[in-house]
Amino acid sequence: MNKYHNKPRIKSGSKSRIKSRIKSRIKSTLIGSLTTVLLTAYLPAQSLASASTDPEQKGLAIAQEVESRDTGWHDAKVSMQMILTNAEGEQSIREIRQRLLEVEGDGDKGLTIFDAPRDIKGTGFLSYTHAIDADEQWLFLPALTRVKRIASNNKSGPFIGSQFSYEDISSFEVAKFSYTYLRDEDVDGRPAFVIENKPNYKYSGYTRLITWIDQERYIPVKIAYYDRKNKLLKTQVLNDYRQYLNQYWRSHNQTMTNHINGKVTKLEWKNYMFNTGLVLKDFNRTVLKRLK
Amino acid sequence: MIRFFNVTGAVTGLVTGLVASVLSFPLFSVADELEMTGFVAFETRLFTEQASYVEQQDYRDQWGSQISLALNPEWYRQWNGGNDVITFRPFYRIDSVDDKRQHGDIRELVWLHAQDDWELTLGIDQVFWGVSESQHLVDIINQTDAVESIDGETKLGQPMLSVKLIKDWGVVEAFVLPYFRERTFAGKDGRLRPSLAIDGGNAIYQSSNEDRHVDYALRWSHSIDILDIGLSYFTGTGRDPELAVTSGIEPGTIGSYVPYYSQIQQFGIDAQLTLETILWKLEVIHRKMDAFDAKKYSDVVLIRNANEGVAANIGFEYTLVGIFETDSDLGLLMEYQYGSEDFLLEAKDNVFFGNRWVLNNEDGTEFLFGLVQNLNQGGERSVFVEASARINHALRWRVDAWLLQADDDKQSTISAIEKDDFINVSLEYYF
Repeated sequence: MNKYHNKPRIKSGSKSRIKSRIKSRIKSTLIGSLTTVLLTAYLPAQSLASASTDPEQKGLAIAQEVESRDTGWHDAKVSMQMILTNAEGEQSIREIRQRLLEVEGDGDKGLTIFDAPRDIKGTGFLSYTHAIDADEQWLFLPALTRVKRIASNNKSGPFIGSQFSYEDISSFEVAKFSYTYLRDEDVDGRPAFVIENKPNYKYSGYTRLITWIDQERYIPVKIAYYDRKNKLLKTQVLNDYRQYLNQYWRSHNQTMTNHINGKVTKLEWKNYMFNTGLVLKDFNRTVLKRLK
Repeated sequence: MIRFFNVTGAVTGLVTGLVASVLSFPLFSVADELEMTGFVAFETRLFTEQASYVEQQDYRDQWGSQISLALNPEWYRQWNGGNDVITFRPFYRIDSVDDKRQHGDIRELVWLHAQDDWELTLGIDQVFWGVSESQHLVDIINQTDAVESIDGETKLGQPMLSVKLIKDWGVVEAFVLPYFRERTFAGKDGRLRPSLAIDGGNAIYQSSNEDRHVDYALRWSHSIDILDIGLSYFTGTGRDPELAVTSGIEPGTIGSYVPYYSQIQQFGIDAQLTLETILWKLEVIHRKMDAFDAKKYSDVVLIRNANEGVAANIGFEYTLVGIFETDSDLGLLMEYQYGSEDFLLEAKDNVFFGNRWVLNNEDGTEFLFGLVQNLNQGGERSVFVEASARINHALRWRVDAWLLQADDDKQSTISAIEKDDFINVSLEYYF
């Protein structure tokens, strides 16, 4: 659910897939030269990262390596508790379950079912993330047994009243940002790359994100969000990373602090399961009614 | 509801079997989970004007009030990795004023089985079709539980067998609907009714099978990029009754209104274009009713101007995200309701304006303001406000207010209930 995880893109492992990935990237992004892309695809990123001197190429290469290392997990199921705390310290809880499917050559598909608060229990949210096109989103309202297709310009809006917006939790695609490597910096004693991400999509609520990427594991450990006026709005810290299938790191504890309104949202993930047998048809809009 | 249980042995058996399946664990040893959820709502409706009709309980009072309690528990069981699901959702409302509004229903009692690219549904279920906000033309499977809400959004459970095919080229659903549910109407003590209470218990049918006529429906729907589209067909007992009039004891007087349910065929199209900030919505139906047999029903009078017609609802919803530098979204809605001349559907030549204000806060606070204005009769309109927010993890308040206005010199659905402006305040406890 964080920017870099759960958010697959193009699978690695076969040369034809890598080629199609290269093709789509050349078409879809103006950043980076063909040389960079080829280097990214075929060389280990670490060597590239250290080899490149251009901050944009280096930033892109790091983002691509983050993506590449998180490719191939296929599908997952997970539960999450969201703890919302306001400036006065009052708390409210949300509970959701998610099913995720990695999609080759595009953004992944996600199905979210709400368990708490109780008045929205059974509400379902289905999203098809796309690298370039607008995401497709459907909402199931159990009180009306109605599936509603909803507009995709709500990305900057809060997700069920939390400090996470839809874009903070939606599928990460390399093409959605332009990257600039800034510097190296330690986070909790571990070396990290500091990258600036500028959203390429029109309806983002941010001018830029500063991300701290762990240099050994290529996972984000901290993200700072700057609002449309380029003012620091929020900071997210990602902790308690655990590795699945000997490859994929998932944070089990994400904390988003809003510096303007003093509100904090904490996500606690549990029961991650991979390779659960989910396939494309499990993400058809017809399942929204069935899964409560 | 009692009548419903007596329909046929088959239905009774099915109902009993499904209840047993939901509630007794050993039948499904592989069951993953049994959950009980639902809500209880305590509600008070305050009518702001003196009642129009003498039988109405609050006829002499300036302000009439109606207190009620609604129970809506739900049992949900899934097994076989979520590919088998049974849902049981009974409903009961206790009402202080209107014994017709005090009623029960089985909203859902249904087994759903999913396998490969198809799904089977057996039991009592709720099915919604369509995209519009101000009226639901295409939606036809379930009968409206009209005593529940003035907007007609609440539906009675519909017994059915349905099969759904999920293919790359769309979803096809076929329905067999073996039993018809009669619309609910306010009783003589209650508000929001015509000058005489509608005698729902003496409904008349075109079909000699009455409420046991078997209806059929077919629907194809698909999502193609920004377009969501559905085509549907229904044949059977029409869900919208016409009101027939019986003669009173005195010559030339009206005895009662009775609902008449005709056999109909209806084609429907619903489509939505989802752009980044705007949703375009369209619903169109063509409905053909069998001619009314005045000889067969010589004891009632039914006035019908046409046996077939077209109705349409076209509009948009435009959403402003993050208004006034807050987290709020403001949705602006506008829809036009078209009905061909003399066609029975009441909603015609109306314009709907709506504002949906969603605060996106911890309490999930929402407001909906709406105005339905008739374009031919300038004085005919309805205005409503709906507001709700969470109090804590289990409680939610809700306030609905309706203002109904009609031209004094013209007869319309609204003119009969013109004095029934109300404010409904409810407190919902979710468990």
